[in-house]
Amino acid sequence: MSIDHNAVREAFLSMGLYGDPENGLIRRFGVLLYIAPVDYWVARELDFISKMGASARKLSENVLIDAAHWCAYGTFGGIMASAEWAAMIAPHIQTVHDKLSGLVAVTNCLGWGHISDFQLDEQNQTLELTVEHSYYVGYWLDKYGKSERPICYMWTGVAAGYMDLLFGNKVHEFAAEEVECAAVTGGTRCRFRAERLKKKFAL
Amino acid sequence: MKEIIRQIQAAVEIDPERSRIRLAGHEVAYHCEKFSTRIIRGLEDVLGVEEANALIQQAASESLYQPLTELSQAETNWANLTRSERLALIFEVFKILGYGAVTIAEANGNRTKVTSSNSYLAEGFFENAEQWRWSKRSAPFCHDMCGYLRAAFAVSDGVPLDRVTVKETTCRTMGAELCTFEVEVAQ
Ligand SMILES: [Zn+2]
Ligand SMILES: [Zn+2]
Repeated sequence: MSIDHNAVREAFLSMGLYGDPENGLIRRFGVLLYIAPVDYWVARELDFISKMGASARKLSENVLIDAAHWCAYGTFGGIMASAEWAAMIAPHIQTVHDKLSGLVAVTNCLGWGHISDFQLDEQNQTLELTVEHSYYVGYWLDKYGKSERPICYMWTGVAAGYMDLLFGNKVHEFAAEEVECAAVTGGTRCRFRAERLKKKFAL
Repeated sequence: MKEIIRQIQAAVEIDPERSRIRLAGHEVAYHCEKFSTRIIRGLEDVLGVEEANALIQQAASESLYQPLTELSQAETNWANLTRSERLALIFEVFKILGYGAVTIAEANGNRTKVTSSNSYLAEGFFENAEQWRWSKRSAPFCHDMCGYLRAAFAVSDGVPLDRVTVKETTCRTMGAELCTFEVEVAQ
């Protein structure tokens, strides 16, 4: 990879990403960031899923994945247009693969878990993303035990959002699914696969 | 107070193997306003505003109760601080976390009115309203702030979370000038 992920992490830490002492807002990377305990981010999604029960599971999952998909498209789009990106990452980008590598380096600074690998097939426009220690998994296993279904909704939306940004013209040209989840296996690894939406229905 | 704020800011660590962040010993993560506004509107669509508020408020208050309790234990002078001084310290922490600025507008026995001119979710709403064609809301939006305030008052008064109720009564997303939160601590 030509993007130095350690350097991105160091730069991220040195930015002092805290709220402005006057207005208490973190306006950086072209978006408004905020910091919360992982338990908050995860509880509001997983308690929602649990509350909705099995009969409404698909609907509730879609609500969460869709929110993350929009977020990834808007947020990472904002990040790629930001001064921070131009200074830190843009000079090292030559290929689509590099661009994704830059996005992964930034994503790995946000506290959501670690993207340890990605396979981008530019010809077929597919992405396989491997995430270790997804922040959902510990909460789910502690509170609900092993899951029968994948639960990393935000990551699913992020995988699709990356592809919309790299190959699409707007959000929702791509869709993703979680094909392996640590909450199901009891391990540490989750895997996601994204592809163009129309191909999904042309099987 | 400045010292403890400085210590919190210095206490961010990223574990490069797991890409997980710890702040003052607690796992935290960054998200942006697009994610939160979308998720919260999604929850409202499915559950209704009141139930969504209850769920989000619960998650937010529980997640901050322990870290704020530890903050109160780390501040050596805590026992001598007045309630408003304790809350002022906690509100500084809210600013570090990016929740916007909140102030006490009125205190009357066990009822307190807290206001904010830039509560995070309201800011996030306006940031995206035009692009996503969101019109003025008919119900308050700052559900997470309700939960964070609940944790703040529980810790400042040294009571369990369930003794504190918080209701947002005016919200900028409804056209109000300020978001107003009515806090009551049961005796
Ligand atoms: Zn997973
Ligand atoms: Zn509000």
